[in-house]
Amino acid sequence: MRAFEYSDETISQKELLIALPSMLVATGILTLPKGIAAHTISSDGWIPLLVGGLIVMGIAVCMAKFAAQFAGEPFFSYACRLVTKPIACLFTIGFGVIAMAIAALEIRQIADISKNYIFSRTPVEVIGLSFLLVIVYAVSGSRAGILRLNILFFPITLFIFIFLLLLDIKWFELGNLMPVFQTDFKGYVKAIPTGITSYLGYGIIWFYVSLIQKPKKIGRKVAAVMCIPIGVYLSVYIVCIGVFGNSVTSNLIYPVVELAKEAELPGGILERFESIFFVVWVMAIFNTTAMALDVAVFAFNSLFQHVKKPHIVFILAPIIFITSMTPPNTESVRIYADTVSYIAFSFSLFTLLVFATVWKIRGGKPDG
Amino acid sequence: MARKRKWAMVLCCLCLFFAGGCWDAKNIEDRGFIIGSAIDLGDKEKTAHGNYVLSLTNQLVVPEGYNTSQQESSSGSGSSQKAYKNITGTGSSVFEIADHMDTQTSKEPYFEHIKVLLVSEDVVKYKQLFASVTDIFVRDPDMRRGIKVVVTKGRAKNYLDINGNEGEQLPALYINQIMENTLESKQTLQPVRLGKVHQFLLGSTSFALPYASMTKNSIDISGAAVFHGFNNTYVGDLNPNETKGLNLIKENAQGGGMEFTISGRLMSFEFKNSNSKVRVDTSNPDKMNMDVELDVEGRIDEMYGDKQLLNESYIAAMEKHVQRKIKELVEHTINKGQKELNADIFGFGTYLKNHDYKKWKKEIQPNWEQGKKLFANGRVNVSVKATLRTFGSTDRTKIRHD
Repeated sequence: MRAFEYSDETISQKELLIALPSMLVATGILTLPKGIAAHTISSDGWIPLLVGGLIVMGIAVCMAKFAAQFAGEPFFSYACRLVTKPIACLFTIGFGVIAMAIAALEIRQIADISKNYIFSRTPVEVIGLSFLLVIVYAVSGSRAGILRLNILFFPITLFIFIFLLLLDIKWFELGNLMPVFQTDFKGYVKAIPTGITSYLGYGIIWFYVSLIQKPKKIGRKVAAVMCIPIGVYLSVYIVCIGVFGNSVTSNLIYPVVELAKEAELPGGILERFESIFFVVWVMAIFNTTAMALDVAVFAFNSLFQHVKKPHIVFILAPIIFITSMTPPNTESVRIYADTVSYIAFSFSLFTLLVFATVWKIRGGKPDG
Repeated sequence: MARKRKWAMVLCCLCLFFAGGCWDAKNIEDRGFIIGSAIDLGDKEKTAHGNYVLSLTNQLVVPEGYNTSQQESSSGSGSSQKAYKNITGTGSSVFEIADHMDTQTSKEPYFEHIKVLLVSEDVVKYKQLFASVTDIFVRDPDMRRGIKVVVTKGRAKNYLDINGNEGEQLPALYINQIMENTLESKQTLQPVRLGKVHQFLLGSTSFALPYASMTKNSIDISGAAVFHGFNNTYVGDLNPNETKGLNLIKENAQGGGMEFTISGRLMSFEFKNSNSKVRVDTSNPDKMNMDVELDVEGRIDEMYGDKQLLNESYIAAMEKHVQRKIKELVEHTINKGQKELNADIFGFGTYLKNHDYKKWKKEIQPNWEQGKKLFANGRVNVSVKATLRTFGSTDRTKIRHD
């Protein structure tokens, strides 16, 4: 068996711009309303979500602008030039490990949710493994292929999402949104970290920008596409509160899955809308996980350049699988998810700060 | 190369084990679709461990007994088998009972399509028991939040044997159908979904659930069972008439009607559109002023008199009568809520919560139904504005006698 090598592994800017929201909209959203609602009163949770989104958007824009200056050059190589090779190695390993952790998290969550709602007798391990095998297949192939798949899947995900929200309007009660602006400052402070960390995975910018040959106005465009996950999160949150009320939302484990279960097509045509929702949702998670694993492979491949890509995939996949199956129950998965999100966020921010500082000290041009 | 290919073949074959379906494959014939559940108290009051003894009845569909053609059922040549089977079990938790039920049926109980949950009055009377028995229905990922919850007078189990003789062969679906069709009646509460019950149980606002009663072979879902929000305990009932009052305050829906007499003649007024506003004035914290403003539009549906309706002064007089009648009803209902039940199911608390959240949380809520009982001590002012819009398709239907 010989892997088919694509002639070019470059992508257009459009592909990165779709990949970004597609990466962000993943399993996080299924549990997100719970964490936000727990710290805020009635519908006030939209504020930390928006603030968190804007902060992440700012960071993502800076990252994209910074990385775009080294267009066509992989992360590792410009990191070497900026902060000597050993330190660049550490950064690359860091990103690789985080990407693996994200992939493991996505696999565990999709397996947990599938087990909970669809396959009550199939072991979680088997669900996770079959999902991982498909991911491995995807990642072993072309990198540009994965990114192009986003363009195919992401619009479908968005469409089903909007459709879901529309179907739930039947149960929407304005009274559940009242009273507004009653959360005290402490509540917001507690909720904003959840708001920020729910946008997990924009670290892919570091790696994928280098695949673009000629980035143009990338800052503005990244800002524009970051509006998509922010918009999705806000609308899901508001609909969740409107349908369930704050108290129920903060108690449901997967509020968005429950939203899908509430949705019924009028006239009893389709009582179980969640089956469609799940199918499409698995597609979205597939994209996210494939990109996470791909970034990990990308990172390690730049360290060990003579090792073939599929071999790296085969080394990483078992580690990811074991990591994903380690947390014993859903609560520990939640803690694991929180930890990964915090680390991923701080690490991306830290890298940006270090690189930018070094860049400034070395007298590089200001970005532009 | 050839060896590699062989291994690839073996691997593909192994993959078939994963691809060819899954652990959870289950033939639809083997599933026992449960469409309704009823929860009662068992014969004994408590187990040795001090838990209540519950009795759960599940209604399973028996597709073989379901007659689709009228002929078959009337001639009796078909089987006399019923379209459903009720299985009852007793135990101290719903799960334990349901678990044991598996042994009483050849099919695997399947809860995904359950429509109604009937909870007996006897169960809700015990503190916290209602919240406890509904827990599994909320928690189980198979269950849906759209299950309609009804409190029944007498044993809930009996309701799952009701035969409406209206062509619906499954009692649970029959009850479900009744609730969907009574939206027009003001004497019945809007169906309460399990998801809403979950919200009620988590919240601290008092709430009302539809209340069903039964006579021989017919069921009547009118009236409401009222629960305290702060401890989720049943406090009493509203009769159908009071439920109408509650609906007028809470729901802005149309439908339903009321009778009134004008100069000794009976007349029926039908609500076409009603709008209500609730307001609370907290300037006197110990005796709050609670206002209800109702704006009702409707039409005359029936008259026993023979007067000419289409007459401006007469219309005004009729409106005044309707207003007085509605006012009496609403005042009576709120009075019962205050004095007898001490449960704010009318939304006064919600108004306060929405308008002065901090004050509500700190000062008022702890003293609303408990403590100083601010709700029960409040002064209620009801103002009603009734407008007659239309008078049906005729002015008079009989000649005048006087």
